Order: sequence, then structure tokens, then C-alpha cells
Amino acid sequence: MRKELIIGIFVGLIALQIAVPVSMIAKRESTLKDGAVFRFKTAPVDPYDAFRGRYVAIRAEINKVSKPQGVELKYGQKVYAQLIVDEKGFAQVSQIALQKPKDSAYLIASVTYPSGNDVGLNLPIDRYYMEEKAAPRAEQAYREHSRRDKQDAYVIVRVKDGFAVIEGLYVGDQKIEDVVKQKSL
Amino acid sequence: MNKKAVQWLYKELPDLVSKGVLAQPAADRLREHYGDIKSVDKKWFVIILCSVLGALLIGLGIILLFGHNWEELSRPVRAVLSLLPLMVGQALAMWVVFKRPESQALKEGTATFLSLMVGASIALISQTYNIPGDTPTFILTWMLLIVPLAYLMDATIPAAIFVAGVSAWACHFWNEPLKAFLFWPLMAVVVPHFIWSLRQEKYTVRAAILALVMAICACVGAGFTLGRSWPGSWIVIYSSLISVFYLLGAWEFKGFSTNWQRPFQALGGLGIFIMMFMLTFRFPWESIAGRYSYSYAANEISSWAAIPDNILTFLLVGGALLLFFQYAKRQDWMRTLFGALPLLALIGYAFGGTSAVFPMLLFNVYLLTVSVFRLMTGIRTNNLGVINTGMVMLSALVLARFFDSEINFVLKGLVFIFIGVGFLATNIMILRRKGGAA
Repeated sequence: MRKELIIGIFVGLIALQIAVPVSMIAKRESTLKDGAVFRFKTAPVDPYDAFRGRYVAIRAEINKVSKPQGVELKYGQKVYAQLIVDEKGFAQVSQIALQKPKDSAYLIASVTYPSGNDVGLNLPIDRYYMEEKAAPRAEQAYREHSRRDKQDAYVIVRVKDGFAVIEGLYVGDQKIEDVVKQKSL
Repeated sequence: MNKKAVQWLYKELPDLVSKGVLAQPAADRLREHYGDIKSVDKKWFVIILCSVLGALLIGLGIILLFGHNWEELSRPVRAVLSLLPLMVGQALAMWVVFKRPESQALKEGTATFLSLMVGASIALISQTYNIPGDTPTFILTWMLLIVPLAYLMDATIPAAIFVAGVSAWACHFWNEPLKAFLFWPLMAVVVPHFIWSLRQEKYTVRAAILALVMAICACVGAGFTLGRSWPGSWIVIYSSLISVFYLLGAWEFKGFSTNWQRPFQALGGLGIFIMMFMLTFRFPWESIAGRYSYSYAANEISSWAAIPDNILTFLLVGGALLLFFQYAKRQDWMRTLFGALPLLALIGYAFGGTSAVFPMLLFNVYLLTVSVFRLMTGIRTNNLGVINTGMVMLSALVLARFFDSEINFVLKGLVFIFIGVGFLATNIMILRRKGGAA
């Protein structure tokens, strides 16, 4: 009896240990396949994660929106950020809401600081992982590029049901991986 | 009973018998009285250590290889790769549990490897899909997926990884008290495993390792979760926490004889000394008045969010006081004196808000009393270790006060001379008594 119970729990644990990563993969694959495409302007820099390696930190340039009337917001609160595309083709947050928007695309974001009439937002796109040596070069490439007054780095993001998956990072309309490759040639 | 002493006695017995100091029947009776010494099999320990270290290094190596973020690998390949080592780890663990359940080394090793592979798998997926850097969620998911291994495979390293991970998780919520408080229930998850490992006769080292990790992590966690609504309450909380470690660790359990097997007592004792020493200064007491406070006040924490914190704080302080009275009842004076720390901290805390002078004075006298008592006990029992620790405590106090710029020179000088004369007088008294006895 005891052995059977252990086998049962063990099999359950193993199934769970596999189910978690598989569901993580599945959700992202589905977003990449069916999600709406948005371009977010960014400023990439290059930090480091002991477990997950080097990445380019992405700070989406929209991180502030005006506060909705008569709503109290707390630090860390989840909100729905509605997305629109501006005349230059980049994504903007038009407004934030506490209820799920029915007809427009949105992202689930968290409030960083509610102050005055503005609300700081933490958008769920903040990392773009790159190969060890490529990440610092990517940051350098972006810096050189932006020095020429062309701050046109952006990420292409797929959005589905409030969930965002980054598809690629572009500097001057070129994929960052290609920019880095050209630099190192 | 001191294992080493019995070992020494057994080594001496044949010699004593052959020299006619002891008759053979008496020697036999001695052996019968003390019984066999259970010696820990060193080889066995080395095998377990090697298997754990091997698994740990290979596992960490795989995490690092993944960390390179190979650009050449396509998404499907990465998806397979992130599951593969996990499945290998699972297969190994399954095989050990069902085919080699008696091998502690294999169980501990494969459980460690599998624990790391769960993390590697989630980490690689995070890279592949550029998942936002939500470190606490990453850690907690990982930890919850591995903690059952401690129970299913009787493995302690996964439990230790869990404890460390949960502490790292709690550190992210210093401004969300209710979330951070989950640290304690999460820590409690490994307690049954810890008690079980204490009861294992053979392999007490692993209980010691887990105890060490738990003690350190509890101290870290306490800083993030307790006493956040009252500035300066860390004085009482940390005093209570380390006293509980010390007094619980010193409780007479069967079969522990060395300090290494009592990490709670060793760490607690060290912590008590550090705490006493710190409290002889002004800055801790000034934190009560909120000068260096980091309380929640600024972060609009509603009062009910502090309730679990307050309850646990009261339980902790109450527990420490209860243990203190237990030791006082047993007349175990050394431990009672060490265990008096939370009580004195509480008194100091009550007065410290208005003036730091009284608590500072209180703790200077306290540290002086404890170190002199320790010195005297050591001399009486001829225990060099106790004498030395007493000396270290006393010297720390003397040096700190000598260089203390707050007290004026005349007062300092007089107190030093007064205490010095006290020592000399004691010395003379002891010598006279000895001379009288001789």
C-alpha cells in the first residue's frame, strides 16, 4: 500500500514537473502563432542573469499613462493596458482599465507608481535573451546607432489575450542578431 | 555521554588490565556499562558527499551551458532541449527509487540532480520565449516542484535548496508583508523532513547541514517578514530568534555530542554574543526612535496586513522567554544567562525609545557578567574552550569601550580601574583559599 502510494505521488510529481514547462511552451507558441503584432519602441541595455544567461533589458518607452478618473491604484496592482498604433506605426497605451477590454488589444501590466495624474506601468516585455557575447555588442550597436539621432530600436511583440511574447528586437529596421553579426565581421 | 572519552577509555583498557591497574572483570563491566560506540561510517559519508557534489556540479554545469543562449538552436530544438535533461533526471530518480531504494548516496545524488534540472528547464524556456524577468515567480515555481523530492526520496539537499530558494523568494517582497509572510509556512514544509533526519542514527551530518541552512535562512527571512510595523523591534525579534536557536539546540537530545551536530546551538551562541555586543552601542537603541527605521509606515500598509507578522513575533518572543524560564528552573546557569538576552532586550526596548543610555548601560553590564561568568566557569571546569570564548567576549567589550568616544575619559578610566581591581581581588581571594586548603 505504502509503495503504491509513493509510486502514485511520484508519478504525479513527475507529470507536474513536465506539465509546468510544457504549458509554458504551449502558451507562448500559441501567442507567437496567433497573436496580433505590435512594435514597441525601446532602449536596450545589457545585464546578466546567473541562471538564464545574458539578455538585453528592454525598456519600452511607453511606461507612463494618464490615470483614469476616480480609480485608486496601488503599487503592484494588475491593470489592463489597451494598445493602439500611433501614426508612426509604434504601439502606444491609450488607457488603462480595471476590467478586461472587450474589443481592443491589451496587455496585462502592473502599476509601478501611482502619482498625481500619471501612472507608471510595468509592461510584461522587459528581456530579450541573446548569446553571451552578442548581448553586450547589441547594446553597443544600439548606442552607436542612437548617437546618430536615430533612436529607432523596437521590439516586435505578439499579443494575445493580454499575454505578450517578444518575437524579435530590431535596430534601424534590422534584426539585432544581424546587426551584431555585421559588426563582428 | 562523551563519545570521544569512551573511545579513549576502550583504547586504554587492555593496557590497564595488562599492567594490573584494573582486573579483567572490571574492564568487562566497564564495557558493558558504556556499551558499543556507534561509529559513523566515514566511507559511507564520503560516498554520499561525492554523489551529491557530482550531481550538483553537473547540474549547475548544464544550467551554465544553457545560459550561453545558443543562437543556432531553433525554437523547437530548444523546447526539446529544455525538457530532455529534466526527463533524464526524472528517469534516474525513478530508477533509484524503485531499483536501489536502499542506496542513500544514489537517492541524494539523483534528487539533487533532478532538483537542478527542473530549474534548468524553466530557465531555458524563459530564454527561448523572452519571458519577463519575474524572478520571484521563477524561483517559487522551481522550489514548489522540487520540495516533494525531500519526502519521496528521503533526500536532504533538495530540502536545503528549497529553504534557500524560498528565502531568496521572500527577499523580493520586502514591501508586500502578506506575501513575504508566506515564507514561514513555506519553511514549515521541510520541518517534518528535518525532524525525520534528526532521528536517523547513521547520518546526522545531513541534519546538521539542513539545520545550518535553515538557521541562516530563518535569520534572513525574519529580517524581511517580522516586526515591520514597529521601528527598532528587530532588537527584540533577533534576540528572541537566536535565543530560541541556542536554547532549543542545547536541549538534551539523544546521541548528539559535538558542536558540529548542534548547529542551532553553535550559531545561536555566536548570534547571542554578536547581538549582546551590538546592543552595548548606541545605534540599535536609536533605531527605536525611528532614526534609521525602515518600517512600513511610508508604504501605506493597512493594519490587518501586519497581523500575521505581529502574531508570529509574539509567539517567537513568548517561546524564547518560556525556554529561558525552563533553563532557569533546571539551574543551568550558563544557558540561562545566555538565554536572558530576549528578556533584557525587551526591557531595553521598553526604555530605549526615550533614552539610549539605560539600555546601553544594561547591556554593558550584561556582557561583562556573561563573559566573566564564562571565564570563571571555564577555569573551574578546566575547559580551555570556555575560557577562550569568555576571554574573546571580555576583550571585545573592553576594546569597544576603550575606544568609545561617547564616554568621558575620567569616567572610563575609573570604571576600568575599578573592574581591574575587582579581578585582582578575586585572584587574591582564590589564591588565599587555595593556600588555606593546601
